[in-house]
Parts: sequence; C-alpha cells; structure tokens
Amino acid sequence: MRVEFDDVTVTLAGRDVVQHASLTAESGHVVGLVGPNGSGKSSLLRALYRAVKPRHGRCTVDGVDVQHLTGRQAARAVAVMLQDPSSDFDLSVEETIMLGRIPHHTSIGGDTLHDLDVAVGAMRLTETTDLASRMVATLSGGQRQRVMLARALTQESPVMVLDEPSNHLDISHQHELLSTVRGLGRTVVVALHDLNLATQYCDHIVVLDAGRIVATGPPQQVLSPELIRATFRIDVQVLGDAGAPVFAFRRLDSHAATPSAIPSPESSIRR
Amino acid sequence: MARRTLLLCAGLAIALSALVVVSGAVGSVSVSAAQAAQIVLGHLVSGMPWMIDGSLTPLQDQAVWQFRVPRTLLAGLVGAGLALAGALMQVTVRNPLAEPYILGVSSGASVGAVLVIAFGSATLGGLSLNVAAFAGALAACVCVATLARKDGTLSPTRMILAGVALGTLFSAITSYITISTDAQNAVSVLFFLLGSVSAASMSSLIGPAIALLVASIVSLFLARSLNALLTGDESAVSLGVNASRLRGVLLVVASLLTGTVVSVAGGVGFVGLVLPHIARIAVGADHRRMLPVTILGGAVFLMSADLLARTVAAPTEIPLGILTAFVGAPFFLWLMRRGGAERAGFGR
Repeated sequence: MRVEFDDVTVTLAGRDVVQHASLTAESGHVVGLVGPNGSGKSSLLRALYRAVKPRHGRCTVDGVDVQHLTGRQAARAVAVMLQDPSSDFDLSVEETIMLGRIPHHTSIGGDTLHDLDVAVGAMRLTETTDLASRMVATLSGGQRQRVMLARALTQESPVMVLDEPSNHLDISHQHELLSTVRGLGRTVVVALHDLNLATQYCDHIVVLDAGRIVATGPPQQVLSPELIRATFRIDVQVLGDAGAPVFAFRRLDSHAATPSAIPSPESSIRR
Repeated sequence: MARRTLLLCAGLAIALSALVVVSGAVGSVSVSAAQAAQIVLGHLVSGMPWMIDGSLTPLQDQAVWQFRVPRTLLAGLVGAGLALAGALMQVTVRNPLAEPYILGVSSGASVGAVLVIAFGSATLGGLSLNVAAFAGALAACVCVATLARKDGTLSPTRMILAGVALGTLFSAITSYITISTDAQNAVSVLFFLLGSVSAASMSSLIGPAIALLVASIVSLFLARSLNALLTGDESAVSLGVNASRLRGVLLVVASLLTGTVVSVAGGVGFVGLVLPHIARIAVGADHRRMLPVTILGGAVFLMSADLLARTVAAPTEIPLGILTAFVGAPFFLWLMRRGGAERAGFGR
C-alpha cells in the first residue's frame, strides 16, 4: 500500500515540530527518515499512526486519510514498532506479541488458530521463540526491540512504521532486523540514526532538519558529504566503491567551528 | 496458563458456594451445615420436602435466610466489586498503587454518610445514609474527572493528584463533622469508615449485584483493550485503542461500582488494592485471565473475612476493614516474597 504525507504540519505545545512535509512511500518500498535529534522524524511518524493529529495536511494510506479511519481500521493498516515498551504491569513476551492481534478482534474470546500462527511466525522471524515465557521487564534492550518488532509483525498490516528500531541492537541484529523488514515486501517508513544502515536498506531517503524536509531521493544521491556536513554538523568521508558506499565520521574541526575560548589540553601542556 | 485460570476459577466458585453454606451454619442460633444447605436450597427451589415437614424451626430459617445468607452474599458482592474496581483503577491510571478509593470516591461517600449520621436523615430532607453516601461518591468522582480533564484528555497523573487532593479535603470535612458531633454518632461514623456488611438484607443486595454484573460484563468485553492500555497510551493508540476514551469509560464504570458498594458497606479497605495483585501473581497480567480470578477471589476473600469478623470475638463483631487488613496484609506480603511474583511485575 502506498503511503503519502501531504503538506503535513505538526504542532506540539505551540511549536511547529514538522512544517509542510510532503513525501510518498511507494507500495513495498522502504523509506528511511534521517536527521539530527529533534528534526521531527518521530513526530512525522506519529502523525501517520495517529498518535498526533496534524494541524495541517494529511497522511494517507492507499489514498485514505488515516484520520478518517476508526482506530481499529487504522491499526490493521499501519503497525508501529515503538521505541520502548514500558509498563508498570509486566506482561510476558508471548502476551506482548499477542497484543498485535487486538485490532483484528471486536470483543471477548480466546485467540484463534490463525492468531497463534501469525504470532509463531513473527517470533520465528525475530528469533524470539525462546523468550516466549520470559517477562518483558527481564529482557535486554535488544531483546525487547525484537519482541516489539514481533508484535508489530503480528498486526499483519501492509504498512509498518519503525521508530529507531535498532538503537539497542548489536551490529549483526541491526542488519538482521532491517533485512527481515525489507524482505517482508510491506511498505515501511523507518526513522534511522545510522546513515550506513539507511544507505544499505532503504529505497528512498528523506532528510529532515529542524522540522523541514531538506532532501529526498535514492540514498546515494541524497546522502552527499556536503548534505551530511550541513545537516548533522559532522565531517564525513565516503569509503568503499560507488556500489556500496560506507560513511566514516569525524567531528568537525572544533577550531574552525568555534574559535577557541578555552585552550585545548595540548596547547596548555606545550606552554 | 489458560488451563490454570480455568481450574482456579472453578476452585474459587466451589469455595464460594461452600462459604454460603458454612456461614449459614455459624452463629448463635444452632444450625447444622446440612440444615443450612437445606434452607438455602429450599428457598431457591420450590417444593423441597424439608421446608414443610417441620424438621427446621422458624427461628433457624429466619437466622439463615434473613440474616446470615444475605450478609455473606453482600460480603461476596462487596469483595468482588471492590476487587474489580481496583483492577480497573490500576489499569486506568496505570499505577500498581491505585485502588478503588484513589480518586476520592470513598472520601466523598464518607462525607455523605457522616452528614446523615451527624445531623439525622430528617434534617437532610429524608435522605437515607445509603443514598447520601452514593451521592457523595458520585460528586467526588465528577469533581476529579472535571479537574483532571485538559484538552479533552484524562491524564493518569492528573487523575491521581486530583483524587488525592480532593480525598484529603473530604477527609478533613468528615473528621471535622465527626469531632463536633455526639460521641454516639462518632462511633457510628467510625463503623461506616471501617466498613461492615452486618446490616445486609436481601433487598440491599440488588444495587451492588446489578452494579457488579454490569461492570463485569463491560470489563470482560474490554479485556483486550485493557491489555493494550497497560503498555501505555502511545502503544494503545498504535493497536487501535483510543486510550483517552477508554480511560473515561473505565473511570465511570469503576466509580459507579465503588460508589454503589461503599454506600451499602462503607469503606472496606485492602481488597481493592491487593486482590488484583494476587490475581496477577496467580495467572499473569492478561486481563482476560486476571479479571475473572480477581472478581471471584475478591468475593471469596471478603466472605471468609466476614465469617471471621463475626466469629473470632463472638458475640462482639470486629469491623470488616480491620479484619481484611489484619488477615490480608501478612498473606499478601508472604505471596509477594514468594517465587512467581515476578509475573505481576514485582521483579523490578
């Protein structure tokens, strides 16, 4: 299903955290949102899964404004892998993953065979089968993220939203997760900090800075050293061949950026 | 876990029926357990031979059917109602320390009851204690909901803070009236605050029974959504559950249930806070399993407590609230220290 953000402005506490953002995720594509902290990535995603209502503009799935759907309809269309599954009352991994079936049920009653099949499949994909009876609170950050992915997969929605899905994962699970998500064939909108992962797994990159979209396009066109320097205020070097570029980062020269009011340790030693 | 829940519920249901019979047999008028069972059955099913053959005295019949049975049934309804209201409140404000009284419902009810006790029903236009207490509970609930509402949403933190602040205000009013009234009235007030089911009659069961039935059906239908709400508003919304609206519904259901119960039985403590936790320790936090266990467990707990309340120091009665705390607190602490409590989130 095609996802479209049409001139979306999101206001939180009187501040426009996203301003006139328009972008399209073609059906089956993985679209990555990148940008510094506070650039509006999460807020843009929240407008898609209806945690916040845009002050202006609309988010559509298959041409339908998500605000016009019921909660359950929206949750069947768009599943979200949230950053942190916090709870004061602990659920087991199995119970947490089964939460993904809520939008498919109207009322009371047990879980159907199909419910269980979907959950088992999701657990296999995310390697969480062995954790099934553990309590979520006892898991490591990375294990929790895999459980949250399994929960989102269990929702069986054609569109998936992932907000920083890999920040607690080890390097191999980061790649595992993104290649799993990519292999689903669903439309995915994902906020990522790691530009190398973004380049490798996204069909399309959207760069946000201070609530505005500053660039969109295929990763290798968009993520130029100049743009990265301007947006993230970091020095970047592109390694590897043109087919699979890898970014190496270094702090921008502090002397050039801020005239030294504080003498650096070396200079004081030399003196 | 589903099997365990079923077994546990069956066990609790059996305990519940046994308690009705046992409490029918215990008291100053001597009645055997078999006779108590006969009397209960005889009133439920017409045409039982033993009801007319003279083997039971009218005094026995009266003691069992007009005093002991209504009383134990009321204890069951109150226990079940408070336990359910506690479970709903805990998920509504997403706080393990929440209980039915956290939003000031019981403090509001106390003000209503104390006004009637101190000034007499006649001065208040013939208002009965029960009605005044119920009105007080509702007034408190409406105040809290109004104060906690902002931009069309009910925030859990604002609900708790408004409830605690208003509760304190109401308690001050109650204390002031209690202190300024006659000593005789002060004792009545104390008895109301501690809770009692000793004034039960068959007709006093109707209100709590209806409230419990409606609340149970509504909350079982919402059980899945309640699970979603446990994981936070953002998460609930992503699962298609309107967290704010659900919270509003839960607030109304839990408050009406609590108000009805408190207006009949006073402020019985402890059940509403602890029974939901015991149910979570037994079967986990999934509401589809923990709600039935909470409801049945609350009934069994308070029926046992009331049986003890009227027997351990007979002929004197111990107020129910004292007994629930005295028996319940050590039991709960033992359960909390035991293995398996992490199922209820006690591992952190």
